[in-house]
Amino acid sequence: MTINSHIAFVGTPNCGKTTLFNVLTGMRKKVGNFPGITIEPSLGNVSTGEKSIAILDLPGLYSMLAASLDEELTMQVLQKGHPSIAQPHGIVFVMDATNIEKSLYLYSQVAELGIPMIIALTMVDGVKARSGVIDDIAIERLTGLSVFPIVGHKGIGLDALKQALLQDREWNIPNAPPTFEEIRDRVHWSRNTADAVLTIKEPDTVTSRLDSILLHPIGGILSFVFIMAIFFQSIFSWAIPFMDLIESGFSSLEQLALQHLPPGLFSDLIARGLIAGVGSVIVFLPQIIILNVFVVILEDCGYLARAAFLVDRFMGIFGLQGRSFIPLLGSYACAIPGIMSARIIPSHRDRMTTMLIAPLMTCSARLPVYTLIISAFIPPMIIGRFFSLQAVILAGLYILGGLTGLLVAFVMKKSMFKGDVIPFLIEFPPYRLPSLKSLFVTVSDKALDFLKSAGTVIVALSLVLWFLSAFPRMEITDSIPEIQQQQMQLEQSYAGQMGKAIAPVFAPIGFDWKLTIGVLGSFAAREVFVSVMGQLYGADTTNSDASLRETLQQTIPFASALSVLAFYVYALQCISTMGILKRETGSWKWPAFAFVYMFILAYGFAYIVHAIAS
Amino acid sequence: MILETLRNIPIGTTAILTSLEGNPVFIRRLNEMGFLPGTKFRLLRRAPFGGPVEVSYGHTRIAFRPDASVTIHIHVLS
Ligand SMILES: Nc1nc2c(ncn2[C@@H]2O[C@H](COP(=O)(O)OP(=O)(O)O)[C@@H](O)[C@H]2O)c(=O)[nH]1
Ligand SMILES: [Mg+2]
Repeated sequence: MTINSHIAFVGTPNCGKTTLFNVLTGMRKKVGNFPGITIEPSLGNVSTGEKSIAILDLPGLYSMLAASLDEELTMQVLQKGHPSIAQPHGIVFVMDATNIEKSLYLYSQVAELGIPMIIALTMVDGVKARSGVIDDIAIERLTGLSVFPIVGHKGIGLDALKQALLQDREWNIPNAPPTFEEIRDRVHWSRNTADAVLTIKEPDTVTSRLDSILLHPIGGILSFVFIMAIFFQSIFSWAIPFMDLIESGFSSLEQLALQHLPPGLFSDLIARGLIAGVGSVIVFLPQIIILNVFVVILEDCGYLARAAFLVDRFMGIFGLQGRSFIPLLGSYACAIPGIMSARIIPSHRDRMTTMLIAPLMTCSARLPVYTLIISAFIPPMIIGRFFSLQAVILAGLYILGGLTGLLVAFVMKKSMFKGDVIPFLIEFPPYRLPSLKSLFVTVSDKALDFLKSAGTVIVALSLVLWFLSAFPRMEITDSIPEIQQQQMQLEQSYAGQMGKAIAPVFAPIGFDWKLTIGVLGSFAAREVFVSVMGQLYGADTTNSDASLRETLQQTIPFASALSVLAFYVYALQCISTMGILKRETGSWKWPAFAFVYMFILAYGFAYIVHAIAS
Repeated sequence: MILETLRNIPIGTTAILTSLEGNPVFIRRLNEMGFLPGTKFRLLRRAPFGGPVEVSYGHTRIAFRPDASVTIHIHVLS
């Protein structure tokens, strides 16, 4: 798709560009597929009465000499157009009044393009708050462009800007900037010009006071831990009631469909295939929304950059940068929102590494499997007077996942994702109040995007899994109890046959064919393991897994049970994660790679555990 | 006195950047941010456990990881 008549928003990072774009245009549309980019270029519309114009939002940049994929894309679009985005007809240069020097530096390069421009001067309230004056008339004289002072999050000055965007006479080619031999000359020009147009009398005391706490060697770490604890608590616990509601809603829908449709294949497809598949997508929404709200607020208020500064050293041990911390912590609740939030990482290689190890973090879907096996096979002993053996093993599994992930990251960063264009380098933005409207637009955009691009893949894959377990059909007489009917159907199905066929592969790690089917079946989602095992062993797990626990205790050898645990620590048993990896990396290559390397880890670890235990 | 790194000087030190060597993209970006040889700056803080440093000069505050890919020479003033 090529956009032919559009203007672009260009500005330095944190200049208020996204806020301005969101309040001006509302909903947006993605342009092309740019998996490596932190802010996907998107298109919105501004209209007054009969006229309307398409606006392109591009990633922020400091300079036209790109130092990241983000900057490279913006640069390419502006200089000559990109295969999927034509060169814009006009540029709205978003100039941050509180950081005018950096803005002017970039401006001097963009002005060389000779494209008609308009200047939106943001953060003018920030200058006033520090008893400063920004001389917008001087900027007009200097640049030869129309300058519109605005306060993005409050909507001040937006109407005038909006009118101007639609009027040809407001668009001018900028005065030719001086030619610069060296970076130093350009820096000096922007510094001198900044001093001429901006006077700020007072330092930003709010920011320096907050920083003296939030970046304090001890206070900084304490507040970091506190903020991260709330962040984790919110996705791990606060999302649960909503997820339960969605799950019970969809299972009642499933029941309703089974009761009201004529029994048979069709009702099974609708209920167990389609409704269950859609439900398994919707159920991710609470965590996705909560996590994104948190990440956007942290980013917009300016804390994210500080958090990255604080943990950069720790993440650096494993070859990553500070910003990888949040996606990985989020993945402890669920890898789906975790992987989505990896967009906050500007370095492409770090971002790929982070996404590829995110599924190793112990997500909450592993918990039902862990508790089932641990409560069935590990005696409730107390060790060292205080610790319950069950709890110690559970905690061990949690730590093992994260630790292995970081070690894998280390290896990846030493090999396939070696090096970085630049190490950690960041300009701390002042602390600012986020805009609610912009937050709403960004988060609902992410949620819709998940439903559209990953959700469809997940539903399709769920239907395939349903097909494999529902075909070929068996003739089952009604006299047999329902649970046994399901058991027989599953055994006979393609999934069952496949399980039996590949069982020899899993024999060395102590899985019989039933465990193998359980593992295969749980590919829909790890927590499905419990209900698949229930079906296989003819145990009713609708209300509790107590009867399944007893059956398992009697039928599975101890070593095999431990082997299952070991396998689940590492295996990528989740089609939804693969769906989101495809979405975020732009190809099936990476989910396939993640699946294979995690399978090798899982198989190897299970093999060792099984060998030791038996 | 010329020091090889920013690692050894105490927080609050004012110094002049004398030269940057190594990773060209990193150095170019530092330069573009106004951190050029001759710049007088102050070391504001260091992240815990020897992490990145934050420096201020003019109206700018930047934080970066002075990793092995660059050598930073400075001249300590106070
Ligand atoms: N005080 C003030 N804050 C603003 C203004 N415009 C945006 N912000 C805030 O500045 C932060 C960064 O804005 P954002 O639009 O994300 O910047 P971007 O990185 O350029 O997209 C957010 O918290 C916004 O709410 C403004 O004109 N004045
Ligand atoms: Mg932003």
